[in-house]
Amino acid sequence: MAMVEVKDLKKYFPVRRTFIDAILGKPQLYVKAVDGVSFDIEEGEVLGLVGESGSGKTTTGRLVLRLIELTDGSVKIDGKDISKLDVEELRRFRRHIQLIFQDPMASLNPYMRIGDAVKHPLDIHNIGSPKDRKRMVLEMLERVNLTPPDEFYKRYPKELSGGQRQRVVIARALITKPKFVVADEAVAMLDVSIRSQLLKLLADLKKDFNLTMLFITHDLATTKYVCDRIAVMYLGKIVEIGSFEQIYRSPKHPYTKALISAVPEPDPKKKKEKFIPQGEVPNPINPPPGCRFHPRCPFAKDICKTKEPELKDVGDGQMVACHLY
Amino acid sequence: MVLELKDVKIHYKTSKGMVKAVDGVSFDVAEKETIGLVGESGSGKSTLGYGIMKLLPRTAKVGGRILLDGENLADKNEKEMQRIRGAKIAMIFQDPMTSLNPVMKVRDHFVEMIKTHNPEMSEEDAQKLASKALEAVGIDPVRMNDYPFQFSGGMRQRVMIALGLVLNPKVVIADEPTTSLDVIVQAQILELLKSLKEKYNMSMILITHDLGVVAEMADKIAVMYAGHLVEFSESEKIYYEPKHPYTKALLESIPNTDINDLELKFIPGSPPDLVDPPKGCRFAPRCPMAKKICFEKEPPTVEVNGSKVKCWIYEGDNDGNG
Repeated sequence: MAMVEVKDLKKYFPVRRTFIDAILGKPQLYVKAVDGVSFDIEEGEVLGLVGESGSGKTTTGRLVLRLIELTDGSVKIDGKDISKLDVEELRRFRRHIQLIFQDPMASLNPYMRIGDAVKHPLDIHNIGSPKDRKRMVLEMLERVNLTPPDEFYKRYPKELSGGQRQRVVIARALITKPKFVVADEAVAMLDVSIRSQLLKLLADLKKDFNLTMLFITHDLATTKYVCDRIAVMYLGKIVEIGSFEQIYRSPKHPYTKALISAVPEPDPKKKKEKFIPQGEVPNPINPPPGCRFHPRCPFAKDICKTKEPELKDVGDGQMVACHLY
Repeated sequence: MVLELKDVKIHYKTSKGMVKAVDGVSFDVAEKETIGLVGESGSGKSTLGYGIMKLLPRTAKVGGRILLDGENLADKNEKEMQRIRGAKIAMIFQDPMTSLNPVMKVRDHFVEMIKTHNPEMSEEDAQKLASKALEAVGIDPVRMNDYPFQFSGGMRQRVMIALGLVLNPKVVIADEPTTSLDVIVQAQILELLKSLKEKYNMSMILITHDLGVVAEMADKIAVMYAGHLVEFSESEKIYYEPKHPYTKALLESIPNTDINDLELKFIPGSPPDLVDPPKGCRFAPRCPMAKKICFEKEPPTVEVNGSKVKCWIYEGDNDGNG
């Protein structure tokens, strides 16, 4: 059994309708932010979830942690259907599911010392004696290379650099030894040299803690150091999912190919043949019929305009939702 | 040379002391040339860009010379700068949502700008000029009547670019023009900038933290670190023969899509505090090759195989280690 099982997950946000619209009987519209997403994550596996703004990747991350309620589908973590838990059960279960936020300045309380911030989850979930807690926090600070840990324990977020703050956020998420972690753009705000440090740290922590993680990013190039498998999202759907080797070596979906070719290449001689689709991601209130990518796809056929492609296996577990295959 | 920077210094007065955001930067921009100005947060790259435009807050002190066609912008007052900005040197800002006025139609942005520089031009002619600029960036001129919020992120950035180019300036400074955009839209905008550069015969300074982005665009690359220009050379040379240890480390730490290259290198530590920067070379505390002199004396800028490098390694006759 996989650690995380997501089945046909849907989240429709209602679009605000004015009073007049309601009287006139205009239909309620929905933003189909996530529209039938399924994936499994095995224990100790990291799944990269890649997509552009509006693809639904962040909403998916929030749904699998039940930070927002799903519209339909199910999310099972370690066999437990988290959408069926009541408030108290969910509160207790939260120690097993943690989130690494994007912006450490916004997700750390500026008035809380680093040590207290990392200790907070232990206090909330009543893990260990106060003495144990302090020791656990110091160990964790050391583990994320905030050394000397007793020095960092006393500091405030503003006294830390951006990279150090993000280490605190990671330490706080891992202190309860969660079964499943969602990292939402965990390195997006950082500079190149610091970003690589953090990616390296995440890759090391993955091994040490045998982390099961959903790694959400808009930047395909950051996935390869931490992810075992990659899922590519477009307008609320997964269009391709496969091992990271499959996605890098032989991307199948035209959108995946576009994402890879759009990554700027620093080597002047390796100027790749660019495949850049026209236009931008359309409005998710009224997504295109058929394949949602068809208006931008240079390979679109008639069937793509009418019939929505299903995810199907194109070999060795690589799944693609595209009529070309 | 269209633009010459000579020992440009930009220091800010803050409550903590003087912040030496840009500290003695010199390079030239030739006609039709694109310079990629690369660095991380706090390197001073954006400050330098804003300094050239003289768009800095009053707490900033600009020293050195900024010669645009021989005219020293550092000496100009605000009134003179208003005549130069937009017409001779323009800026494309990072975030088009905050730099376009939300209550002004796109048309009015253009008309205001054109008429500021050409008060005698009729509104009709100004609109014609605007239509042409919009067409050049791939926007239907009909959309001039729309407000900025009615455009998508990529389209807004196109509007920004059209605004920057409408008066055909000699130099355009683009400050992270694609950073707030998604990868695919970023690639579209880079293609657009490349084609426009040819068409409008302009020189460009492209400010970015992304070496991949500059490599696709720039003829030459200027690498900044903690307020210093550490290396300046042709793009190919920067990539294939990086001289400065920081440039080397930066290149190695970029994630790429090459599946055979799985080793992730990184630069330990973080950039220094510019109120009290390291005494010698500002990169020395993070440099794997640092020697004694690097911590004591600021390195000179030397020329090595056509690259300008600010590093002690290339000074042969110091403490016997070079």
